Amino acid sequence: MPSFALGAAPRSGGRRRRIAVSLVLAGALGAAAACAPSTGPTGTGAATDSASGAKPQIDSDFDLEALVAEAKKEGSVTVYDSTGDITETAAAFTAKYGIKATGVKSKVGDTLEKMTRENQAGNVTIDATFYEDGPSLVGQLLAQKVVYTWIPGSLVKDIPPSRQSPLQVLSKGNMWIYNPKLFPKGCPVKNIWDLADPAWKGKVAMQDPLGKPNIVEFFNQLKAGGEAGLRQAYKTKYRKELASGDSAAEAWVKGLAKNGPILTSSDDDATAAVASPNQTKDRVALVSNAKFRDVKEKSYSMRVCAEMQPWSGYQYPKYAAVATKTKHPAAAKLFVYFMLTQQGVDTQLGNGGLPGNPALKQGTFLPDGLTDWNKQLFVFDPSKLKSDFDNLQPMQDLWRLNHG
Amino acid sequence: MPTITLSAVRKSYGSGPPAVDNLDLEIPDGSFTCLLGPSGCGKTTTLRMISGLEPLNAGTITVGDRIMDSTVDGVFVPPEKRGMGLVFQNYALWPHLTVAKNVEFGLRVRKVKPAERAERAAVALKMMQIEWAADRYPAQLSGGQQQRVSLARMLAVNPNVLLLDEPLSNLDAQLRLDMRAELKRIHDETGHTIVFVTHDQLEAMTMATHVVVMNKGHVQQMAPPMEVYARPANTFVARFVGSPPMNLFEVGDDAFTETARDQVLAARPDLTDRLTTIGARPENLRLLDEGDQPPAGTYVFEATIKTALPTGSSWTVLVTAGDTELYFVSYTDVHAAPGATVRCAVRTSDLHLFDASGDRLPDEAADAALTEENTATWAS
Amino acid sequence: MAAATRSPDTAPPEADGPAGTRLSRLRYRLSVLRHEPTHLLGILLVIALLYLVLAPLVAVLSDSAQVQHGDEGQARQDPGSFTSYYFWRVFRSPVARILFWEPLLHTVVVALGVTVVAVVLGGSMAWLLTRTNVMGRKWLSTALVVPYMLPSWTFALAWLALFKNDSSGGQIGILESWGVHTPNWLAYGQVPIILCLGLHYYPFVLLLFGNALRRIDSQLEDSARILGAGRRTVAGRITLPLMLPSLSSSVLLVFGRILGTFGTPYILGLPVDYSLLSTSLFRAVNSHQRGVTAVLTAVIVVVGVLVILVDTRLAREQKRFITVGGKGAMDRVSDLGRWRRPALGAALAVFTAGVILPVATLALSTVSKTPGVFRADNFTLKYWVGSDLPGAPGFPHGVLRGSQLYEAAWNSLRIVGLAALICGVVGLLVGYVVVRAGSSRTGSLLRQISFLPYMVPGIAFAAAFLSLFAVRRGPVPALYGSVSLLVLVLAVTHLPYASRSGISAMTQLGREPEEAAQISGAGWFTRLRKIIIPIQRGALTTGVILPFISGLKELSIVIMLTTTGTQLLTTLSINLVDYAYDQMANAVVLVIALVSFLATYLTQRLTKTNLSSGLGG
Repeated sequence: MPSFALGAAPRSGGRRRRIAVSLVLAGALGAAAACAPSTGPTGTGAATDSASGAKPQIDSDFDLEALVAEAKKEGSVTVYDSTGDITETAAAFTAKYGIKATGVKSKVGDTLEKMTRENQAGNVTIDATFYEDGPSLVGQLLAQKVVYTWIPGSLVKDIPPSRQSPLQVLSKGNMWIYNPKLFPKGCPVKNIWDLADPAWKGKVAMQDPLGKPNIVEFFNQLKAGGEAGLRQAYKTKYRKELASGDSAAEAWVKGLAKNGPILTSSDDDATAAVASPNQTKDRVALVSNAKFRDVKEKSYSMRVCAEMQPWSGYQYPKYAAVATKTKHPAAAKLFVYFMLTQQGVDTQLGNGGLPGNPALKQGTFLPDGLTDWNKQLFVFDPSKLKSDFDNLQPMQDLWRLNHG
Repeated sequence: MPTITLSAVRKSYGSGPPAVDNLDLEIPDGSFTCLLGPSGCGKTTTLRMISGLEPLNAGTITVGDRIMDSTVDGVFVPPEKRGMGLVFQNYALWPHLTVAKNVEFGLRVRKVKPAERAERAAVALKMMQIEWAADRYPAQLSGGQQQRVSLARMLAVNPNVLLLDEPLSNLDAQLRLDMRAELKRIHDETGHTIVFVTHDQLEAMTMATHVVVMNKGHVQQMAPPMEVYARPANTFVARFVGSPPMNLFEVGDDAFTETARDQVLAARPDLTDRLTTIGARPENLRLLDEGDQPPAGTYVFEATIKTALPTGSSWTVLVTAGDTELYFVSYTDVHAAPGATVRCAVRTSDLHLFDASGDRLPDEAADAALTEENTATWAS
Repeated sequence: MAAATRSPDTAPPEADGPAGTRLSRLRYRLSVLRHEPTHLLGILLVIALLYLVLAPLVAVLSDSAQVQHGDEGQARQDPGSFTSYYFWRVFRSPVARILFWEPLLHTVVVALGVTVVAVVLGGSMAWLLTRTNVMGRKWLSTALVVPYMLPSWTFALAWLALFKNDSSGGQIGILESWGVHTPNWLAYGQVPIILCLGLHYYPFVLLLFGNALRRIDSQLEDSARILGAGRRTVAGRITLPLMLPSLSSSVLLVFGRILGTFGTPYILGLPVDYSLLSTSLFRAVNSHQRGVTAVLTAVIVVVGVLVILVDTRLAREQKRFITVGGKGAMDRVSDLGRWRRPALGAALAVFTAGVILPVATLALSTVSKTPGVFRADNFTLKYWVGSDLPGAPGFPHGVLRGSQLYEAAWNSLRIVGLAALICGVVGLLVGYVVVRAGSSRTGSLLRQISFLPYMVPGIAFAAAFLSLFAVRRGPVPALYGSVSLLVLVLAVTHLPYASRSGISAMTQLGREPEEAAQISGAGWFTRLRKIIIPIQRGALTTGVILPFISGLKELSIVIMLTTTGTQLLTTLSINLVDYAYDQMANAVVLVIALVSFLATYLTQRLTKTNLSSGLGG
């Protein structure tokens, strides 16, 4: 490939050679395409379904005062997060400890790319991250030891082991919503299989799964942990068992994709498709709980499909990780610790959500219709994150090939 | 004072034949030397090499006793340090500077004081009779005026050598005539060594003290203009200098050329084995009237008139003698109609003789002056 | 005397004896190089650009043949080992049709369509502005370039605001709300993508075409008229062929941009699943598929380079008969007579579609609580000037309050402005070297390589820059983490505009003016400072403004290379979207357009130059 770029450059008398180079390149592409594996790759791969890579580092001699003192010596800390709330968190952190903290909002993909490359180069500017994409956290950042999980010893007993690897700081939800003005009697969709049923063709709005890895992860988590729930719901709807052997999740994803959902590039559009004031169509949408903030402002009418079987949506956790080569290890740890305290996590629960530390109170705001985060929403299994990572592409392809 | 010497100079671009090859040339101090030749002959390259704008592939250029380029000594003096002046074909005035600023530029970079600068610029502009345009921008001037500014710009720095690259080719006929006189005047007044590139032989003949005829990167002849005209060193020069060009024919194919050869060899038996080509200038050919008796040593032949083209002061007549077409210049009206047979004459001593490789054969008597005189006689 | 100074002891018996020894000739050549820095400068520029352009490109492209971390399952090979898996996936696998072949077809269709729209709009407007006495000529010549200053997706936004039907999410468009049903083919996909991008990119054609039209020797046309050719024949047989170089040049520029533009195609194509190579690439980048990203980037670069080659070839063929008029070029204006008003109407229609509609849509959205609802209680100025907006923790007030907007604007001006200045100067130097070095290898290499960044989608190799500059490499310190890196990378990626303008301006100027100064005794720096730069003021201005305009809209590179969240206008806008304040995000976009426009306008006024004057043909 580089030879082509170089070959393209010299001009005088080099045109023939250049064309030759392009031809060779074209040939190489053809050859590469031809000698590829003849069978389609099959998912799972060799990796075991454990959060392999780095084990969490539990700080058993945790001493808050010493950590604060050390962090003060380090002077500053920079934390990347995928929500803008991080600026608030950083401000609160600075106010509390007097240590300059910079919170940067950055998309997960950008954070991943930057942290990996900073680590490779040994020039680290991101000290810690609050990270929403579990699969790439486990599959890439932790596996390549770009970051590690740090847990303060004093809180180990509060946090259930399942939330320790990687360390979960909070959870938010993506949920199915409907327009109560159009359906005063409640959500028109009672069962998740309705969404895959021809009756709802073209009536489901959601973000483009190919542009939003989070949704694909949901599909994969369903496949790993939602099998029973899905089969039960299938039976409820169709009064028969789903053919055994097939994956219920795959069947559902196929059906949903074939139903040609309205794909949007942002949550806002998906929300508006259901809830905007002059909208009259029968629709449901999958949106983040943060969108409920718009209800009053934009005169939207929306409500969570609370009755939907087996779940009304899913929780997606946010994890904390400290950069392996950070120049401010103490300050980074202190920031993680701060996020595990009520004061810290509250800066990010303004639109509702669950703290990762169960000892803390959940966000006071509740989306209309949602009463119990843990019962109504499907909860991800952190031990499956590595396989989610491996299966991202196969699941995307399943979607791609069935999307009509 | 500077004599410009080029020795064994070679310059090639890319992989083609060299633009200038093994060039030896000495341009005398104080001369007005014209580099003359068809386009692509290497004359502009030579000029640019002298100026330093074009580095050599090999060879040496010296000005006076100062080595400017030498691939032997590894010396190169950059153009800005050579103290020369160059006028470009398209004048190359700087559009963002006024005429005065254009002229002052060279003085400014030489750190001449403002007062002196202004004065010298004014003198140069005055010399070129363009002082009224000092505050204008080049775009506001006509081509001829720009040319004057460009000359003034060069003269202001008082260069030791003036180089001119086809400076008159973009001017109309009248302006060109004026500028020729102007350049000649500058040469007379300043005594500068001037090297002038042109493809126009008339320019070369009228202004130069020395003409260097070049072709395909080689010097064909270097001599004073009248000598180049009267004794062209080879068939290329013979054909290139003079208008209409010299009639050249190879001897021995038919009766006409055979007789011509015999006539010549009768006087010059020493050339028997070498003579291949004979040349006759159109102005040396004469139409004989009925009963005219040509003097001794004249070759008389019969020819058929094809056309006669009036040029105002004369007629250019095309005739055929045997298989050979000949032009001659007549200063009287040619009454004969096309197709008529006429008698022509040329003095054998006016014929130019060349060998198989096209080089001029040695004259019996080196009589350049005589030839010149004879030409005058015949022309009257 | 040459013979006298020859040192016979070292001279090996060579055929060209008087030329001196190899050593002495080398010394001569070195001495020439020392006094004529063009070649040295050229080589330095080539090296710098090779490093800055090719190194990240190679880094990205090499990913295409290596198993990426996490793909070992699919590729059945260890990470880092050589693989053809990604090529297989993109070209031959079951998803290849969706991933590559369909997008390729769509890209070709869209690129051709956009080119046609841009050429028709730009060409006709250029003709109106340069060759006719259309009303308001002067004003129009500034106004009609504005569409290029708006981020391209604002056209998509405006389109949706007008035509969006209820088959996709979000608010329906105005037409639909008036009860006019807009079919899918009109609302989404191919047609709107072509029209929106065409409206965005026609100013390229306008500038290039206008320039060429202005420079054409009208004697050439006159002589054809005298030979009995009618107006139409003259236009078809004389004018049009003469315009071909600028036509192919503008087609190249438009085509190149379309290959890498993903915003508009993504927004407009998504509802009907219409994807281009660029959206395919965007998805691959977003889902961290480095291998597939690399293959798609390679395809885009290859297509881009092929387009360059075709263009170079065309240009060379046309150069044989093109005479750029010098003296005969006149500002010949034909009288439109009673068509003056209708012509103005046509120009205003283009202006409306290209400027007023997108700007108005955007402006309207910044004052509406719910977009597209026309009720008095839906309008508010609070997103601009409100002092207390609930719910947005990072930005609890209107954009004009607080210091964020001003800081971001200042950062943008400072960083992009500096990068644009560097672009302008380097672009002019590139032009200088290309012209001075003539047909030498350095010159042509430089010409090609300085244009290459244009063909590489920034989103694909932004991350590679980080790797490249995060550590000290030779004399280059670890720049990552400092603003200077951002400036450097912005300068490199936007250099094509400047180098193009520099090359064309220097080609037109020729080398004589500088040589005249050289003969007059001026050294290199003096020549550059006193002659070249002042004469090329117009080209330099263009070489600064065009990178500035496009740099101001840059996002992916900024995101990747800023560290402590140095906020630029673009990142501010994106962050506001995240706070769900589309209104404020759009307000910032308006500010970007305003800054672009003011900067262009003021620079032109102050330097008395014209944006088009340096773009060349």
